[in-house]
Amino acid sequence: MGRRSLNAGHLRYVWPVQRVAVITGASSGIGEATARALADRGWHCVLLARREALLRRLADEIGGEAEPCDIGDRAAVETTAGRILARHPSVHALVNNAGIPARQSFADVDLDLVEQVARVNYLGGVWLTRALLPALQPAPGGTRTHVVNVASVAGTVAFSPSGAYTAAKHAQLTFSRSLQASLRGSGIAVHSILPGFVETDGFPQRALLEHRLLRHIVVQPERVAETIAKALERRGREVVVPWFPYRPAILLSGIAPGLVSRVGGRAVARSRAFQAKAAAAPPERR
Amino acid sequence: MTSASSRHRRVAVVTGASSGIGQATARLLARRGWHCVLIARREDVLRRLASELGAEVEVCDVADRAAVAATTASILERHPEVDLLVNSAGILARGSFVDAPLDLIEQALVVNYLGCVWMTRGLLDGIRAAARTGGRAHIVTIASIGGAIVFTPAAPYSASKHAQVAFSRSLRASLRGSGVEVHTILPGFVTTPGFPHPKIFAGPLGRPFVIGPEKVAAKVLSAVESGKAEAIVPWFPYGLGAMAQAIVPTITARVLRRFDYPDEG
Repeated sequence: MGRRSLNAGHLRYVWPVQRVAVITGASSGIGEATARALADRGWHCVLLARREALLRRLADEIGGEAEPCDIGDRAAVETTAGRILARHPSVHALVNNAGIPARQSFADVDLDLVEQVARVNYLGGVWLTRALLPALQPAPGGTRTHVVNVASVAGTVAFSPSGAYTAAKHAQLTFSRSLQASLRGSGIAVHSILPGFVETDGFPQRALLEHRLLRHIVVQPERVAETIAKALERRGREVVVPWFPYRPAILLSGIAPGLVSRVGGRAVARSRAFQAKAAAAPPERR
Repeated sequence: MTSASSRHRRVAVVTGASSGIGQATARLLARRGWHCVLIARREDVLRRLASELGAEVEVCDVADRAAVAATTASILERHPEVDLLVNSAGILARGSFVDAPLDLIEQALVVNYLGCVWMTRGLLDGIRAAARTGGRAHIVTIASIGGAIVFTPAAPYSASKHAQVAFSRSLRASLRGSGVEVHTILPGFVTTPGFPHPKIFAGPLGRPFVIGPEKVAAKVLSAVESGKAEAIVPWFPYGLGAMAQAIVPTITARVLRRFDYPDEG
C-alpha cells in the first residue's frame, strides 16, 4: 500500500494493489493539483511534463514518478508511453491535462503557435491515450479504469481572444466525447472536464481577477482537481466546472453560437486591454 | 490600383475547386459574373474546369504550408483585392479514435483545419483591401455538421471540423467592424465524389437528408449576399442535432456512434 493512503481521509476502499494514474501537464496548475489530490487518495502517480526539475520535486513530495516529456512531440510521447508500460502493465487512470495558451485572435496569431497548440492541446492527448490503451483495459472482473480529458469551456464555445486555443480545444473535446461513445461498455470510462477560467501559472487570469464582476467566474486549480478526483469514482461523464455561468452559456450557444462567443470574447478582451493599460500606466495614476 | 468600382468583376478564390462543393460553388460564382481563382491538387481536372469557366488555376495542396504561402502570394500579386475566399478543401477521415490510424488523424487536422487557417491568413491582406475599397469582403468556411455534432464513425474528421468551426466563428468575431465578414456553412450529408454517405440515407426515408453540392453552393452565395453568419444545410434534421449536442452531448455522441458507414462509396 502507498504510504499516504493510510492517513488519507478520503479513501473508501483498500485496493489490493496501488492504483496507477498517469497525469500530463503535471508540473503546475490543474495537473499539479490533480497529482496532489490523487496522491492524497492513495493513487500512485506517474507525472509527465516538460520541466524536469519541477516534476522531480513534485514526484519526490508525493511519492510518484517523473517522466519528462513534451506531449506535443509524437515520438517522445510514444517512447515515454513505452517506458511507463514497461514498469506498469496496468494503468488505472490517464489524465490528459497538458495544454498551452494562445492568447491572440486568428487574425494575428503566429502560425507556428497555431500548429503547436493543436499538437499539445489535441493530438498529444490522442497519442498518449492510444499508446496507453492496452494498459487501460480492465482485468476480467476488475474495476473500471478511466481516461480524463481536461478540455475547456472554450472547447464548446468559440472564444475569439484565444482563437487557436479554442479551435484546438474544440478538437480535443470532440476526441473526448467520441472516445467516450466508442469505449462505452468496455470498462474504460471517459470523462470530459470543461473548466472555465482557472488561475494557474500557465494561464494567469490577472485581468479577470482585477475585474469587479468577472473575478467571480475564475476558479482555482484545486477546485478542478477535486472534480477530477470525484470523476474517478464514477462512470464516464461530462462536467463543467464551475457550473455557473459556463453551463448556461454552453446551452445558449446551442441556439446562438455567434452571440455567445461575441459577448464572451468582448468582455474578456476588454478587461484584458484595460488591465494591460493599467499595468503600463505610472503607479500614481492607478 | 484598381478599386472595386472600376474593377469589372469581383474576385473569388475557391479551394477544393476540382470537385464536389468547391466545383459547384465555382460554377455558380462564375455564372453570377465573379472572376474565380480555382485551387486544388489535381491539375488536369482544374484546368478543364477553368477553361470552361474562364477562371484561373492555382495547383496547390492546402496541407502544405509553404505551398499555401507561395500560392497566396502569387494570387495577391495578380489580385491585390480579393472579395471572397471560399475554403472548401477537405478530406474525410473515417474510423473511431480507438482504431483510426494516427497519421490519418493528423492529416485530417492539417487539411481540414490548418490548411483553412493558412489559406485565410495568406489572403487576409487582399481580403481586407477589398473590404476597404468595396465596403465588404467575405470569407466562407465550408465546415460540416460534423463540426457541430460529434460523429464517431468519422471521428478524426469530426474533430478537425470542430476545430475549423471554432476557427471560423472566432475569426468572425475578431474581424467584426473591419468590413470582412466570415460565414460558416455546415452542410449535412452531400453527394460528392470525396464523401460517400452512410447506408441509412440510401433508403426512401433517408433520401431527403442527402443533398447535392449545388444546394450548398446556393447557400454560400446567399450567405454572402445576406451577411448571414452561419447556415446549416439542410437545417432539418441537422440543426436539431447541433442543439442536442449543446444540451445533452453525451447522449448525442452515443446515438450517432452506431451509424453504418460504407467502406466504399
